[in-house]
Amino acid sequence: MSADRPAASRRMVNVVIDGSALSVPEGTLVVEAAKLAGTSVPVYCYHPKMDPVGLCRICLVEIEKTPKLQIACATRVTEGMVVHTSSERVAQARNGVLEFLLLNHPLDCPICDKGGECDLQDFTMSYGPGLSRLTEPKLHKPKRVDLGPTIVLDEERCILCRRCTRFDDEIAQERNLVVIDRGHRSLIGTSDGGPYRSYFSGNTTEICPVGALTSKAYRFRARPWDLTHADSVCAQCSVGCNFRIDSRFGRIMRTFTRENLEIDDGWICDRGRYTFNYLYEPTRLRRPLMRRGDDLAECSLDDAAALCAEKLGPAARAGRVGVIGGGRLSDEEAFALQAFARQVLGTNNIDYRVHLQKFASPARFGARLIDIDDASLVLMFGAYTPEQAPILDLRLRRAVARHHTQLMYIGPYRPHLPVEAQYVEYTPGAIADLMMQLADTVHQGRTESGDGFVADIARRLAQAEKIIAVHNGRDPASVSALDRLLETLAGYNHRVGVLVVGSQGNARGAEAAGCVPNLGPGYAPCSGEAGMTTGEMLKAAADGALDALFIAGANPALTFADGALARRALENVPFLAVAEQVLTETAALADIVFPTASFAEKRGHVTNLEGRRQAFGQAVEPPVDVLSDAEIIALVARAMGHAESVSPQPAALLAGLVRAESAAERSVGDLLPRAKVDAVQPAAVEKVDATHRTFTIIPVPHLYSGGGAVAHDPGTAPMRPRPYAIVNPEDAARVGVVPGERLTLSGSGGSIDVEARVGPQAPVGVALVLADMPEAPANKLLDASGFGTATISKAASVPEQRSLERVSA
Amino acid sequence: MLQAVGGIIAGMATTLKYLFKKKSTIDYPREPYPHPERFRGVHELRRYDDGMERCIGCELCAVACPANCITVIGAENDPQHPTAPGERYGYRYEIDMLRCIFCGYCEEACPTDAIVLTPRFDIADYTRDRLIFGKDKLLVDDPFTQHLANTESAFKTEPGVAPPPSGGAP
Ligand code: SF4
Ligand code: SF4
Ligand code: SF4
Ligand code: SF4
Ligand code: FES
Repeated sequence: MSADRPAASRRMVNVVIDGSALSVPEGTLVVEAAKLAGTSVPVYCYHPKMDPVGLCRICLVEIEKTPKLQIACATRVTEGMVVHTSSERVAQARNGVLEFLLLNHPLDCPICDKGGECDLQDFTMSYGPGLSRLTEPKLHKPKRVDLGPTIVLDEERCILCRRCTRFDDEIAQERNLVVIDRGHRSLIGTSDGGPYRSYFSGNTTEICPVGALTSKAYRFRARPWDLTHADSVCAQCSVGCNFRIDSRFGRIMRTFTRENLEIDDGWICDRGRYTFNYLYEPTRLRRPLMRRGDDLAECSLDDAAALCAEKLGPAARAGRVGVIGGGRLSDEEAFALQAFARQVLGTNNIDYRVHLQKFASPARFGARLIDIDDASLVLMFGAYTPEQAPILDLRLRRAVARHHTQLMYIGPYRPHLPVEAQYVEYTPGAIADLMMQLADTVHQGRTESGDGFVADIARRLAQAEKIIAVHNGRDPASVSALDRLLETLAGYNHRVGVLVVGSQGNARGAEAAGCVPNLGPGYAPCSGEAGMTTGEMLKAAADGALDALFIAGANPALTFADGALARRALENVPFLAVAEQVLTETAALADIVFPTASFAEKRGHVTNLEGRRQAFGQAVEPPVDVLSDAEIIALVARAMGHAESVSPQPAALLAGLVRAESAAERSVGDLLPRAKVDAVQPAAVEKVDATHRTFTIIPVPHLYSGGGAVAHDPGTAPMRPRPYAIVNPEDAARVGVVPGERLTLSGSGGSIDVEARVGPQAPVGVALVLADMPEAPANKLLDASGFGTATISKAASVPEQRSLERVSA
Repeated sequence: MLQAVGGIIAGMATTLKYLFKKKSTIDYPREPYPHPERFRGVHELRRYDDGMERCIGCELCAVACPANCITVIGAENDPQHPTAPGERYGYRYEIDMLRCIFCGYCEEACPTDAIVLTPRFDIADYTRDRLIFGKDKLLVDDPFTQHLANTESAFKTEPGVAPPPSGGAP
């Protein structure tokens, strides 16, 4: 049972279910008690994560001393209750309910994607009538209804259990999916009549007990009994939801939730669920590529490794080499990558950080995801969980809606949140200051008397019993100020915790495995002088001070804050080797590109944002020439004559990592050492002259933005946004921006074309630009602080359609 | 002595009797072997009147098959140019004839009477590959056998429709 069922008080009551006596907490639902007693009661509308509604009546049971049959899903146990779940009367009632449900049911079983795992089939087989008595024609309703970009609806199959609409209401808190019309004419639709767009839509196909909601990606691809299952962990973001990969004939057909109450609570988001078809696109890299003039031509793995060895060797001896990446690799591979840098190349120039993130772990007060459930106040800044950690956000939405958790969002623009939140407009550079002021106010006990909004926030903090801070580890000053604030609060007996949302799926794993310039595996200070950070490496490469770069699972050309610098560096560095799954902006500039295996094609571990290391299994085989990153690193190491330094085997690498970590544990105390950071601090966003066309640029995240897999996936393509910039209505009127028109934003590093949007979430003088879009890289306009300025003008012509087919297969 | 002669005569009589009787062997392959009506030989996939394929790619034949020799991959019909009535059709259909035990379970499982066993049995060939029959070999296009498969609509085939008497097109 989920945590928010009416608090099952500790008092136990005795019940007898089908002859077996047991004692359960008072207030337990009969259906749950029956589960504990080992009998199962059929259910359609009831779902353990949602409030009971008692719509379908399939769960009727007989309760002694109650004349009529009762629904098990909405009746709570009382002392001395005697329940029969399989008596004659119950069987008759179920039979009748099923006959009603099947009255107008099309019985499409042979062509229905649910067939084989359908509750209507299963319960009809167990309890239902064998024959239909209906002689009139069945009622027909629309079939093959396009409900949204991910879902197909068959109205005839719907049994109106309302699990889907309740999911959208209670779990996602979006309230878009509704039942339209009444009685047997009821239909499922959206409240605004538009498409059903949600980051969580795929979950409705799983909870729909029949085949009414099915997923477009899996439509008619396989039957459930064809599928081979592999337990995996989603690596698309740092939450680390557990899921299962179902494959057939060595090809991924679908993904399915694998409930882990402490992480995903049984849900996954659509990015995690649907990003796998890029593996079968022509844009997937299947052969190593080598630069011949302006082009990349296919070559053999051995040639690629030999050239790498030839170029990296001298560069390493001269100490002019750098390694970037790790945040998208498994823990084992991140360990292999740092071993490659430190032992084979002999350098500490290794960094996983290619976004603005500086730290992936809280130095102290580390929290768990479940801490959100009963938090009294969640303080979010920097991170934007609806786009960056959707399943964490789902937990947060529920906490806010159900447990009166207060959400306070501090940031430069108004967030779009489906639940109530307090928004504190604050420029990023000033957040550290705010934290310090708050710490002082709390420390001096001035929370009651003061006024102004600092005192107001401080008062809320002082009233909150449990405080969880969520940030993205981007600004070292505000992170240490936050630590000070939390320390003060902890001193006053508040329970406090911190969650750091990772910029890449395995950012925390890469940090722990030692992919930072000053720390080895397990946060132990590395031997020798600290190396260069990503920013320093790129600077050095741009200035001609590095001879070679090795990049694995990172796309700095698109994601590094100072895009102009990143591009200059990657173009100027004499030798660039990249390991990637698709030809990203970074890989396109490389001298050697190794094709790498995806998460489904290898095994290993990933560490989520709480620091929980989870194993994932291999679902399918990679194409012939495609190796895992560990195998590529080992191959290059062997070509350089260091075969013994890096093992390609996940088991051996993990053993090495664990050994290094336990050795480090003794030297590292409770307070984790921090990774080395660049000197540049986020500048305060300055309000610009209101008569000018120059705007401050703030990049905004989107679940489906990014230049790697997600940009090449046909499954997520319909959900992908077009690059846009949002300006305040006041600014729009001033400079004459019309929503929908094309704008050109010109900044220091070039210009990009985007669609104009107008909205109050953008403060005056600020343009919110969609980040990480390959078609219009926002980082062209930014500097190392992650912000920038640009002039807005109308676009000259229609934007050219950028083709994704950039590599001839 | 007399007994021996009697035996010879009786034996010769039998020989003579069969000498003038109709032969029980046939001149195969020049002469076709007459099959019992319900003989279970090579499969065929049938169509409806209007030329639509009956197979909906449901894979029920494949699960019913004890020899595990059927592979089906379904796909969605193009609503403008459907291959089969409804939303789904059998995009790929293969039977490994070398593994098939001709039990007829597939025929029984099929909800649309698409797959049927015919009396045809002569499928010897030189390679294993060629004995994996795909839709190209299984699908009937022969208008002569076609009428035997015709019924009004899906799921309502009259019981007892017999397989075509002679082997259809391969
Ligand atoms: S929803 Fe279930 S019962 Fe209905 S057609 Fe699909 S498989 Fe059959
Ligand atoms: S679409 Fe599915 S989940 Fe939604 S009401 Fe109908 S049967 Fe229930
Ligand atoms: S006849 Fe039997 S063995 Fe042969 S394909 Fe059909 S079910 Fe399988
Ligand atoms: S032949 Fe019949 S049982 Fe087999 S897939 Fe086609 S429709 Fe289904
Ligand atoms: S499950 Fe109890 S009424 Fe639907």
